Amino acid sequence: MKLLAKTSLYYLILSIPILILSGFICYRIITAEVREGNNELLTNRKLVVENYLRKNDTIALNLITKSKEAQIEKTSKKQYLNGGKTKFSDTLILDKKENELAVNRMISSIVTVKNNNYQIKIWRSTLEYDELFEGIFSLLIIILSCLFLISMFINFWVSKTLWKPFYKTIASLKKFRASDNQIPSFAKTSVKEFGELNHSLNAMMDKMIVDYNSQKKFTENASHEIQTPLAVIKSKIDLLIQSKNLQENEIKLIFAIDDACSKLIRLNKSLLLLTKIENRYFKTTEKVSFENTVNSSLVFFEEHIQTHKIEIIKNIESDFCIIMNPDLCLVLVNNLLQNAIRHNNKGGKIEIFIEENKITFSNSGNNEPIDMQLFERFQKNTDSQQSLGLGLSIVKEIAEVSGLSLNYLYSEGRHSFILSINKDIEFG
Amino acid sequence: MKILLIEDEPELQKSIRQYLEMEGNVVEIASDYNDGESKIALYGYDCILVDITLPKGSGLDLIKKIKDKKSKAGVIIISAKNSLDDKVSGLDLGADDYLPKPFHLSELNSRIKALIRRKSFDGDIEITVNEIKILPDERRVLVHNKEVILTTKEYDLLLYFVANKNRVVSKGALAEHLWGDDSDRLDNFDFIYNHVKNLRKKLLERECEDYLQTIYGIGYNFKTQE
Repeated sequence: MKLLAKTSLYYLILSIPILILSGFICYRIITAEVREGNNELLTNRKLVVENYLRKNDTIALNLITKSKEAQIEKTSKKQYLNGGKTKFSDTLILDKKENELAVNRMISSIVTVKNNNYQIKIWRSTLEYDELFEGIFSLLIIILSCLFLISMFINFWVSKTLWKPFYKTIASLKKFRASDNQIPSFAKTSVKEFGELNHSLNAMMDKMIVDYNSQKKFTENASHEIQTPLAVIKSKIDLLIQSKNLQENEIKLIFAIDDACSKLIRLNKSLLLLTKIENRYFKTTEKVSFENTVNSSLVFFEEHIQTHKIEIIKNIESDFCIIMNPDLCLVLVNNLLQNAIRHNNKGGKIEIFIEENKITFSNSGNNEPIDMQLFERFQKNTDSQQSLGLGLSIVKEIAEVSGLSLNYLYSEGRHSFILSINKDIEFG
Repeated sequence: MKILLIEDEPELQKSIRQYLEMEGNVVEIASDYNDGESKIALYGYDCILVDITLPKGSGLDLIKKIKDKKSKAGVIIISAKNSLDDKVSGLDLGADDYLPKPFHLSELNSRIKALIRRKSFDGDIEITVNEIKILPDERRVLVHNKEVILTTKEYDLLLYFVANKNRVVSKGALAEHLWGDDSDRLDNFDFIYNHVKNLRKKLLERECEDYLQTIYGIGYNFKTQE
């Protein structure tokens, strides 16, 4: 959820209890005011009636009682139970017009005129409280929806104008890659916070690019520098095995050294290859046919396939051709195929399915999907001694620079690696 | 054969020299660009091994000098840079082969031999080891003048053994020669075992002497002399 949407949602949620509270207060104030007004009016009328009684103005009294708004009767009571002579109450009286009981405010008062006690009751229809309640309620709803609409509009407007530089910054950050050696230029903004954000991001990316380049340089230089001592070790081993009368024990030692040395050489070569791919070293591209590449790779691994009794099923719907570096394409296919052979069961299967924009390598193997971590450097299955743990990261890197997307699928003991043309590749 | 090695790493100089001199080659060494330049100008060689990154200059410029001199020497680039650019520009300048470091000495030796063979058009292009005769142009092998039918891998192995005869060749060197160093080592060792077994069987069938000695745990020695 967008930040703005979230803030306005909070505003709305908080405004509901406030509105309810204000509605309640409103209700109380209105009813109190109305009641007081009625009481005053009724008291005045009562005084008028009392006056008539004192003057014994029968005509006026009759008129009043006939209006069905007052009642005068003799009573023996001198006062009400609570000791007062006047009391107010709400009472229901049948409204003839609407033929329903309506709330009326009534004053009851005991008046003593010439030793006679009279009870005067005067009433007046008042506000219908439930109607008032309804009115206030609907008012609240209207206010709430207005608030909602306004906040939506403000949201829209604010994100369109105020937050624009922020979204622009995010968009350029998404495109940023330290390997591109280019810092995105942020749009100028008059908002201080955004300006600061852009400024610190610029500084950070600057640092990232510098770090990335020095790390890249380091890997490349280190790999190169390591080559020479490795060459020395290798040549010395070649000379050492020429010695006559080597003991079995010595042979074992030499073999172990040789094994470690050749592993180091392979490791170094792979690292160098990775760095070169990352540095976009392989610039020459041409149209490469995956079918041809797969075929030559299959010839290369012929003996491995035979030894492991692996069945190769090739299914070519149409050739998948792509513009990329041919050497890298071979490395890519070799690595995937070697992977499929190495992690296969004896007597297993490898299916190679080539479609117009897609190539799939499926192989039988472990009954568990591989860890996606294996695409990272130096991650490998513990049971594979031969593997350097760089194969899949090389595959991933080559796919990335060649505009291919690499996906992995697992279903029922079948591991599939799918290479397909990256739809959103940027040309140029 | 007279070989010039232009290489700045002293230990590698020693190794290469020692290995190549076992066969009676004469190996001269130049440790930097200037040294190499003057040796190229003064003497003639059959083969020149050039490292690209040298003190005081680039091996690529030396190759240019060799070619300008119209020297007949075969040129092999031995470089730690292992970069395609250097390989391409080196070969464009007229180098005959490119061997990235680190390499097996036996591989270097077999490359030198192959190069010399290609260069000497006037001589006979047959390799004869006692009763074995190899015709590299036709990829044919004769034992006692009778043809032995070998697979590609067996043929490559035999040629490699003959180039490095009387030397111990490690399984690793053979594996790299046949498959490069990218594929599984242990698997490759099994294949080598099988190929060598078949090769030996085919040679023995033609009543060839058993030259192939297995050096336990290390590799093989194609031994033609005691």
